Amino acid sequence: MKRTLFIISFVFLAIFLIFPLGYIFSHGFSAKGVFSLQIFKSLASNYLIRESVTNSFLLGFLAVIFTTIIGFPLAFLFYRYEFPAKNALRILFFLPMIVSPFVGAIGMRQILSRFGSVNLILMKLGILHYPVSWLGSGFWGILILETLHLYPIMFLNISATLNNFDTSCEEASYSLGATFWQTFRKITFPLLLPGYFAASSIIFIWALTDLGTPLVFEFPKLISVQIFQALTNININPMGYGLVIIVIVLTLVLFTFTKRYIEKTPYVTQKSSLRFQITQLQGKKLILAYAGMFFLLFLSLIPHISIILTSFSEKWFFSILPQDYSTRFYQTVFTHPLTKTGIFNSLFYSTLSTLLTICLGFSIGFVLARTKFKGRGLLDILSMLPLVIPGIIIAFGYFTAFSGITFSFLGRTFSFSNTILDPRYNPILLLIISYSIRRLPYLVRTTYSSFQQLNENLEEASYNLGANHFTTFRRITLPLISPGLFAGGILVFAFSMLEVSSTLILAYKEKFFPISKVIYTLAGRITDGPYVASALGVLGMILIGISFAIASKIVSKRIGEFFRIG
Amino acid sequence: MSKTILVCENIWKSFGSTEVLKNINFEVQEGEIFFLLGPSGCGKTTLLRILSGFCEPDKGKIILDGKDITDLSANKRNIGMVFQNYALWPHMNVWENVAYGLKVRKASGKNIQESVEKILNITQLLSHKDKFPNQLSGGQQQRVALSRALVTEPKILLLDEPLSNLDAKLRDQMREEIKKIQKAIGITMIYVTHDQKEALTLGNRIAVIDNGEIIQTGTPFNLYFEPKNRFVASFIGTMNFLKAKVTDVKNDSIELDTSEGKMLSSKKEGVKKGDEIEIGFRPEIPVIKEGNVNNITGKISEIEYGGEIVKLKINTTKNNSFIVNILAGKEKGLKRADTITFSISSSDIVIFKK
Ligand SMILES: Nc1ncnc2c1ncn2[C@@H]1O[C@H](COP(=O)(O)OP(=O)(O)O)[C@@H](O)[C@H]1O
Ligand SMILES: [Mg+2]
Repeated sequence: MKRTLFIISFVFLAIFLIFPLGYIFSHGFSAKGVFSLQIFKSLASNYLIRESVTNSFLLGFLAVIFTTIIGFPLAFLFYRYEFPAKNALRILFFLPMIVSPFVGAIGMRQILSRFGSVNLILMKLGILHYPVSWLGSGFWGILILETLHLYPIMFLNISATLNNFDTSCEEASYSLGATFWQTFRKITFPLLLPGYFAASSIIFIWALTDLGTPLVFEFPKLISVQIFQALTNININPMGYGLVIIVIVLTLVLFTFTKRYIEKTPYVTQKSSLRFQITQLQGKKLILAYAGMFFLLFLSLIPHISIILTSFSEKWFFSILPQDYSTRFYQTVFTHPLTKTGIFNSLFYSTLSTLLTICLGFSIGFVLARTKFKGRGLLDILSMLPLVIPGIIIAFGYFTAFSGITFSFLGRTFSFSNTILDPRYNPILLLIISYSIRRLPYLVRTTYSSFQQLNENLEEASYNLGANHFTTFRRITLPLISPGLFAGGILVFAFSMLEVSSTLILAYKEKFFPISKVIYTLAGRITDGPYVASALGVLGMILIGISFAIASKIVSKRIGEFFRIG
Repeated sequence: MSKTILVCENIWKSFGSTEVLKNINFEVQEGEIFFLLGPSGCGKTTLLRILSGFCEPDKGKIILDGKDITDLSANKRNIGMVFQNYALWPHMNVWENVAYGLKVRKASGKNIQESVEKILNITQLLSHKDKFPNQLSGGQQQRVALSRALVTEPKILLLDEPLSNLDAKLRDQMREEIKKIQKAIGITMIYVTHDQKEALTLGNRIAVIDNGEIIQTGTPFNLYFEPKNRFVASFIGTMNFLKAKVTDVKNDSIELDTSEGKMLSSKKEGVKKGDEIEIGFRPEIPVIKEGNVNNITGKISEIEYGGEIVKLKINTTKNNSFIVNILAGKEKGLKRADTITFSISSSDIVIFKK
C-alpha cells in the first residue's frame, strides 16, 4: 500500500513535472536535433528580447524596492506598537494579496486612463489643463499594480521574522549607546536578512512572471509576454524555450541561494520570557500612523474599488464617478453564455484540482513522513519544486511538451494527439493538473507536518486495542490531520479560481475558458465587456475572500505559509 | 560608606489598570552589589527596564551620579545591562559582540583592541573570541553578555536574573565568577533575582519587593534576623510563627500570651498592651534544653538529615508545629516520637504586627 502510493506519486511527478521541464531544456539547447546554443545566441542579438529582459528585471527589481519601502515600516508598526483596530487593519492589508493584479489592472485602467477619474478630478480642480497619460507605455502601471499586489508578502515575511527574534537584542544595542540607525543597520537588519531575502525572491519572481497585468496594459516588452507570444509559433520559432530556460535558471539560482542563506545563518535567537514591550500609540503619532495606513489602504484598494464601481455602473465615460448605477451586468454574468461557461468551467476545474491536490499531497506527505523508501529525498525535492517554478513556466511546458505526443515503442507507434493529453485538442486535464501541481507543495508540507506532530503512539495505541490499519486510519489518523488538509484544500480551490498565467496559456478555445480568461477576453471588448468583466471579477473577489476567511479560521497561524518559502 | 551613585525616587508604573510598581524608593552606593529580590511577577524586570530607559515611569525620578536621567533615552544613560536571556547577537562572534559598544562610540581601533582583550581576559573568553554565540555553553554565553556590558565602563551594571538560565551546578560557579569580576572591576551592580540564596551570598544590600512595593531594604544580616514582616521572614529563609497577645509592656521587654504559654520578647517597638501580634524565631535559634523563659515542649515528628544540619519537626499538644535546626552530631540520642523541650532567648524573638 505504502509502496503503491510512493510509486504513483513518483510517476505522476515524472510525467507532469520532469517531462515538461526536460522537454523545455532539450529543445532549448538544441538545433536540428543536436546540442547547440543557437537559441541563446539569437536571443542575445534580438533587440526586442534584450529590451524585454531588461524591462522585466527592472520591473522585478523595482517591485522589490517598492514593496520594501511599504512593507518594512508596516511590519514594524504592527510589530512594535499597539493601536485601536489593529487586527481589522491587518486583515485589510492582506486584501490586495488575494486578487490577481490583472483584475485590478482593469479597474486601474478605468481610473488612470486619459479621461479617467484622476485626470478629470485634476482638471476640475484646475491643476491640469489637459489630460496626462498616466499609464504611459504601461510599465509604471504594471509596476504600481505589482507593488500593490505584492507588498503583503513583504509585510508577512518581515513580520514573521520580527516575531522570531528577541527585542532584547535591540535593547542590548541601545544600552551600549547605539543610536536607532546604528541599531537598525548593525543588529535589526542583519537579523531580518533571511526573511527579507525570502520575500524579495518571491516578489522578484512573481513580478517578473506575471502575465495577466502586462497583457491588460498592452505592454509587450516583458519576458512573460514574450514567452506567451512565442507560443503561437513555437514550432517555427523556438525562441520561447530559451526565454523559459532563462527564467527557470534565474528562479532556481535565486531560491537556492536564499534557502542556503536561511539554513546557514543561525539566526534563531532565544526568545525572551518577557514579551517585548509593545508601546501604545497615542496622540500625534497615532494620527500619523493612521493617516499613513489609510493612505496606503486607499491606494492598494483603488483597483478593487474601481472594479466594484465599474461593475455596478450603467455607464462610466468621461466622468469622475459612474453616471448611472445598475445591477444589470451581474444579471449578464449569469446569462451570457461566455460567462456562464466560464463560471461552470472554473468551478469544475477547481473542484477536481482540489481533490487531486489533496490526494496527491496527502500521499506524498504520508510517504515522506512515515516511510523509509529509497528515493524519498528525491520525491521531497520534486514535490517542493513547484513552489519556485512560476505558473507560466509550467503552463508553457505543458503546452509544448504535450502537444501531439507521438513515440514508437517496441516497433509500435503511440500517439496522444487529439486525446485528453493534447492541450490544443482539450486542455481540461492539463489545466486541472497544472493548478494542482502548483499548490501541491503546500499540501505536502501541511500533511507532512501534521504527521510529524501526530505522535505515532496514538496510532500504535489503536493497533494495540485491536483495530486494523484501515480503522486506525479512519478513526485516529484522519481526524487528526484533516483540519490542515481541509484548510489547504479550500486555499487550493481559491488559488485555482485565481490562477491566471497557466489559464491564459492553456485554455485555448472559448468553450474551455475558466473565469480568469473570460475576464481577460471581456476586458478587451469595447462595448459592455469591461462592465461584465468587472462584475465577474467582483464575484471572484467575494469567493476568494470567503475561502480565505474560512481557511484562516481553521488554521489561523499557518495561512502565511502559502506566501513563504524556505 | 562611599558616595551614592543612583537614586530611585517615588517610582510608579502601571500597565493599563494594574499597578506594577508602587512608590519605589532606594539608593545605591558606589561599588556595591545592590539586590532587588522578589517573587516572579512582582515587577523586578519592569523596574530594571525603567532604570535602563526602556520603559517610562508614570511618576518618579531617577538620579544617576547627581544628574536627573528620568527623561534621558536608553542609549545616552551609560547604564550597562545583562539580559535574562543574554540577548547576544547571533550574527556576530564573541569579539564582535564585545567590541560593538566601543565601535558605536567611535573608539579608536587600538583602544577597542586593548579594552576588548582586557575584558575577555578577565572573563576568560579570549580563547573563544572567534566563536559564535550558538557555539558557546550557557556559562560562556553569560560571560560574553557580562563582558559586552562591562567593556564600555558603564557607571552601573544591571543584571536581570543572570543565572536563571543555567543549571544548578553552573549557577553556583557563575555566582562566584560574578563576584570575582565585580571585585576585579569595582563596578556598581543592581542585581535582580528571585533566588534568596543569590541575594544573601552576593549582596551588600538587598531590597525585598512584593507586589510592586519595596517591603524592606537592608543588609543580608538585617533581613535575616530582623525581617519587617511575615513576607520578608518567609521569603528569606524559614521562620517559625506563633500567634500572641501582648499582656504587658515593661521597660526592656514585653510579656506575651500564646497557646504555648507565657513568652517574653525583648523587642517591643510600637506595640502596646492588648495588641494581637505574631512572633517568630528562626529554626537555628532554639537550644534543646529547658531555659529560664520561652520553653516549648513537643514531640519529634520527623528528623531530616541535610548535611551539616539536622532538621527536627516538632509538634506540640496545642497543634503547633515548629522546625528546629541543630548541628549534625547533636541529634544523637534523639529519635522520632521523643518528647523534647527547647527554649528561645527572649532577644531572639522577632515580633510582627498584624
Ligand atoms: N508591557 C506590559 N504590559 C502589561 N503588563 C506587563 C507588561 N510588562 C510586565 N507586565 C506585568 O507586570 C507585572 C510585573 O512584571 P515583571 O516586571 O516582568 O515581573 P518580574 O520580572 O518580577 O517577574 C507582571 O504581572 C506582568 O504581567
Ligand atoms: Mg523578570
